[in-house]
Amino acid sequence: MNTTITPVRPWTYPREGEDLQSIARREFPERPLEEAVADLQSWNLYLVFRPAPAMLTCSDIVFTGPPAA
Amino acid sequence: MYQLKITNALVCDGSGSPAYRGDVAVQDGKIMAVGTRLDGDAATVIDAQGRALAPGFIDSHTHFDAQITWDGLATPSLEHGVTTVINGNCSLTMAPVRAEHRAFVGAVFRQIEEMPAAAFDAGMQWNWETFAEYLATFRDNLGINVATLAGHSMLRLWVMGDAARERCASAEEIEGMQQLLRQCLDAGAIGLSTSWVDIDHEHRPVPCRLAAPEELDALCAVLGEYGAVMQVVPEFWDPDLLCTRIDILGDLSRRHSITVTFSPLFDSNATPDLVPRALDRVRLQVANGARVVPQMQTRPIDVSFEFDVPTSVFSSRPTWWATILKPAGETLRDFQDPEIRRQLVDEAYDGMHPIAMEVHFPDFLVSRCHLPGNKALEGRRLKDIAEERGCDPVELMLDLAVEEQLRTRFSAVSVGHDNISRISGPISDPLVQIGSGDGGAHVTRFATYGDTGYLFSRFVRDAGALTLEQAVYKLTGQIADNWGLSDRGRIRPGQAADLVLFDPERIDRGPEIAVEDLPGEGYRYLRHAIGVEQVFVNGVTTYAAAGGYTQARPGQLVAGRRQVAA
Repeated sequence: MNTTITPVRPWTYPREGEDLQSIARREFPERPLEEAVADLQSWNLYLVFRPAPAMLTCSDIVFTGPPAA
Repeated sequence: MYQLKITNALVCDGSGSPAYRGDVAVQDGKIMAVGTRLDGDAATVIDAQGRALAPGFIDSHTHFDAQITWDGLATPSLEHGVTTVINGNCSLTMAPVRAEHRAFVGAVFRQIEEMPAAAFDAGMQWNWETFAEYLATFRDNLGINVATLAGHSMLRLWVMGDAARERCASAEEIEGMQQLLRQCLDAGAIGLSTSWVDIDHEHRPVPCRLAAPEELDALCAVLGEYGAVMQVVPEFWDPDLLCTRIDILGDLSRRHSITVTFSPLFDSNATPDLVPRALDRVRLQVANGARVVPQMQTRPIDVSFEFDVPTSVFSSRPTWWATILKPAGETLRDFQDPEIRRQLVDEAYDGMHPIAMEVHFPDFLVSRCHLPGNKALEGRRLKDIAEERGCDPVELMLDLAVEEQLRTRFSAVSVGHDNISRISGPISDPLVQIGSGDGGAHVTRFATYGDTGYLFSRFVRDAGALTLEQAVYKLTGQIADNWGLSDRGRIRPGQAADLVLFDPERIDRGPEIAVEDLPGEGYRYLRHAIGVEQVFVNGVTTYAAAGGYTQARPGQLVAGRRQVAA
């Protein structure tokens, strides 16, 4: 990312084979896993409600912070 | 002695400059002279009688990839004044495709672009594999100019085989895709298309969505070598996602010195702040040196559907979606099952709206009935009929669908991008390009033609959001500049003689009609043009209001800054 432009929200790409649990471990290693996953789910409803068999892909955006108030 | 001279025209030269009364002379497919009064004879002289003469319109977002192989005119785009179409958007192209992947690619194309299988199968004489072979099959039968993007999903399939649908690419495979993209660009591709949203016929992500960021970055590096363009479909319905994608695009643009364009920039009552926020983000990126171009369509979204084929109107309502994905017999049974009906009715009123659309079931129109006894219902709203009958509009829709064995056609009208006062500002913004029309796609759902006429009728004449000259610029010079079509898009000596003569007080799109003109069985929706008098492609008349389409085939393959060598 260009360092002079602040992202609208913090985010990350999934790595190959990752799910929200592994992203939660990676992004929030200090936090209780269950709580971090719940936050990721609430910040990424478009991924949570993505109908099967569509899966998380390496080109998806996963927000790691809430929307602006 | 010129080949053609058009006199007494209101020349809108494609630059946005004020129009003027003048003449245009053409020779050997090129504009030779432009002036207020040109001397010299011509084999053909046309008195424009003050009508507007503009560069041929350029439609930068089409899916004529299949149709162009059997219809070199890309009907009916040509009659709307479009002289150049850009195919291959959204990662989907008909080449390069190995023989073993034809069935898959065909199924994906038919799913996403909603083309009847019978028409696709009857029309496609699929006897090519490489990009060059594909272009060669139709290049001599073109009545319209065609530029084609190379589809990222196709590059993946070619290099990775079926693994393209399953995983990220290795470094070696990414190099293979880079090499293949170079081959496509050398053969005449105008750039690369990709997608962050599309799903295939099995509801899985299209192959390009499995790409890790370094893969897209590597492909953009190749585009940078060629000065080529990248087109992408982002999550256009969510402001935060879209703004984040705009940042990613800005980064790719700066790093590789390329133009990136995304489509669509879509207004909806569901997210009225989306377009202003996205445009602010584009401005920020442009101010930081990126070339990010949003494409906005002119027309509102109308969707026609029958219940024998899944349509996106129902994708956010799980019971509806599950029911219409079933075989027709099971859908019919579900529509009559009291418990499922109750869920369907509840969801119709309380369910989430599908992405970027605002769907109100009682406002659906009954657009075509199969049984003679129901013909009187055609053109009427469900809620009006239901009120007469004292029943619920959704129950009425289900009853009609069951009675007619799912063959009743309904229409959801103006379900998005229909607020002209809200769209007028963005559509006239210098950063916004007209596009996203989708010509050649969704043919069984709605007509994707006539966005050009609609721009003039609604945004120039009715809303006054643009001048005639600005509207012409947005359909010609601006697109040519963005896409590197250096010899198109302006009326100026040396440019290709792609011209459209039209009545600025009348130009519009006609009503949507269903027409059975596809190869094989099936119909498509289209709109005929109003107020377009004559269309010239490379100096030759290809359409005239008086006589319709001509037999001439002067169209060319267009490849960015260079024409494809014969």
